Amino acid sequence: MSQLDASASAVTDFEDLLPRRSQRSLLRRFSRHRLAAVGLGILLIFGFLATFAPIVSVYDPNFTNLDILRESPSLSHPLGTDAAGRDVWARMLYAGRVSLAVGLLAAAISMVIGTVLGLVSGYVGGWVDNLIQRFTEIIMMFPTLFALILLVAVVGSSVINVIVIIGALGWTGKTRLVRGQVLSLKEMEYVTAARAIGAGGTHLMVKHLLPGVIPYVVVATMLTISGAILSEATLSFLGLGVKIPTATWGNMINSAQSLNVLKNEPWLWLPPGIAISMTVLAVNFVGDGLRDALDPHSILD
Amino acid sequence: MQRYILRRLIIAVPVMFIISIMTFGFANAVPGDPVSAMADPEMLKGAGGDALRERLGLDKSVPVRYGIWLREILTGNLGYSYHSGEPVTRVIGRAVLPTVELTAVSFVLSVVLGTVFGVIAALRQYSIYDYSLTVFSLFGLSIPTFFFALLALWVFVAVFPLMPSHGMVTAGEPFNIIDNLYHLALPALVLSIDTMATNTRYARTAMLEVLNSDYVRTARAKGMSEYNVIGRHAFRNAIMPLITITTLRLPFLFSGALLIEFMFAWPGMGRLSVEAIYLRDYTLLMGLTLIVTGMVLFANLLADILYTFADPRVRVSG
Repeated sequence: MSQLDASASAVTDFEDLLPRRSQRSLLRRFSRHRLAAVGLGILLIFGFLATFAPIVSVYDPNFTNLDILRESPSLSHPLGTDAAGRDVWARMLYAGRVSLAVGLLAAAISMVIGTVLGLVSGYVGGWVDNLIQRFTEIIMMFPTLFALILLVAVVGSSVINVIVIIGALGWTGKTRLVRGQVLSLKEMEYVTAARAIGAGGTHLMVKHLLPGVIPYVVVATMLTISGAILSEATLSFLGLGVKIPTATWGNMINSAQSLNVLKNEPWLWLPPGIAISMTVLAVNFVGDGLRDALDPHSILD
Repeated sequence: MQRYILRRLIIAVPVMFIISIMTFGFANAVPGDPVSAMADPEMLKGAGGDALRERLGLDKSVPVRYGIWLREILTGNLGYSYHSGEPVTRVIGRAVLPTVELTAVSFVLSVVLGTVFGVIAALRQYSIYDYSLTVFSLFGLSIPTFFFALLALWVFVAVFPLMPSHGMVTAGEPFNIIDNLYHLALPALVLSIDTMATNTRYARTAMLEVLNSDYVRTARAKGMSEYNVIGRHAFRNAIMPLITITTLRLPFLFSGALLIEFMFAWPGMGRLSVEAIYLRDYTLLMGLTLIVTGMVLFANLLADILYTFADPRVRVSG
């Protein structure tokens, strides 16, 4: 299964299949918290570096200097220079801004769409539910990466387009998750009580059902973020996402498609690749930790 | 169960219909005309060109053009590639087998190895094996596939020239199954990594769950050999959720290899898709969209049916 889709299924499908665990080892919970703390630390550092990129980087990321093409790491350029003489460290920082921003914004779009549709679908039921579910199924029918590159080819690739497209294709798994939760929460007594005193549909959905769904939404959001970052990286790597000279971690790795760069100039593609991997890993750690904290009976290890 | 399958089949038809409308909408939105691409470009240029254009109804309204396009699709004509002029069906036909070869092998690898690793991790919980396998599975999920492919290419091709870096067979030589497998090894391995990582996690969780359960404790108390306890009871029950997840992965047999095919120049549908995008060959793209979504739909149905066999509870609830 594509990495890009792993997000929702890790949270939804498996949980319904296993019985709930009744006790957990103290050791495991403690080590899980440590992983989540490490993840959070990494994300904070990356976030800090990305936000204060102009201060931390010495050179301008787009300043080309044809005298120092493809230089290996040195004292003046800690990560070397790329094919146009630009400082790699500076590009890494600014690329971090774009990659992280795209990931966060696209995930936000996905989560909003997914949560709203899931709430409506689960609460209203009937033909509305059916319609939304069929619609979701049809969108899911298109292979993720294929649909992404198809849409980008049609509407053109700019940062905004990429954010919107990734967001518009990433909500399908979240809808199922939210809907499932809403279906079980709907039967709870506090919902019936609220309805008995005359609460209307929207009020019920927002004030009562939404808070119950929030823990699952938060966990799913973390996974969506990692999926969105990977999607953007893959698109940019293929040259179909954010275009140079705007740097993103994905399109910095694009140059590695040539065997020469791959073999002889690893400083061009290893740092961005490692950066993406660490970010996604950190997000996954934090997501795991959150899931553990919000639902202690969760069985997913 | 019959009713369940029938219901799924019936829903599949309007779904495919809607997908065809969406595809035609796309084809209309991009440069070029989807309907004229349905005719052999050689024939359009020749003597019967005008009559052909008349028949294709190029100047009619959009719904009529959709109807004509649909008629052509249903009679097996997926149009002619902008880039090469070949019928799309022939171009795609060449690419299906390589894709299936790659995805099937990687599927088997990820299922078998993932399950084995997960079971080992569960059986040796908290040991160095468990720890390293868990870390491995976390990395497998987080490292971008294309980066992993680059790393693999770097180590096995650039640094130690051990494996071929592209293609299905060595160019120019007649087809040789060993050569084919040699070329298949690296792409299949890289493709299988992230599914293998997920499978490892799930297998480990499922196995741990089962090992802590009462009936396993009973079996041990009865004095059964450890081999029997694990092999006969624990494993059988732990496998249930894994089967579910595996059947869910079936649709990806046709669609999951895009990036890997591109990176290893594997001549399958994935690489075809990327090339079509680069070349702006929209007819080929539309044909690919229809074929791939059709296959995914079919694989979903198949997976649902297989699942009802695996889990009898679904059969009863219908």
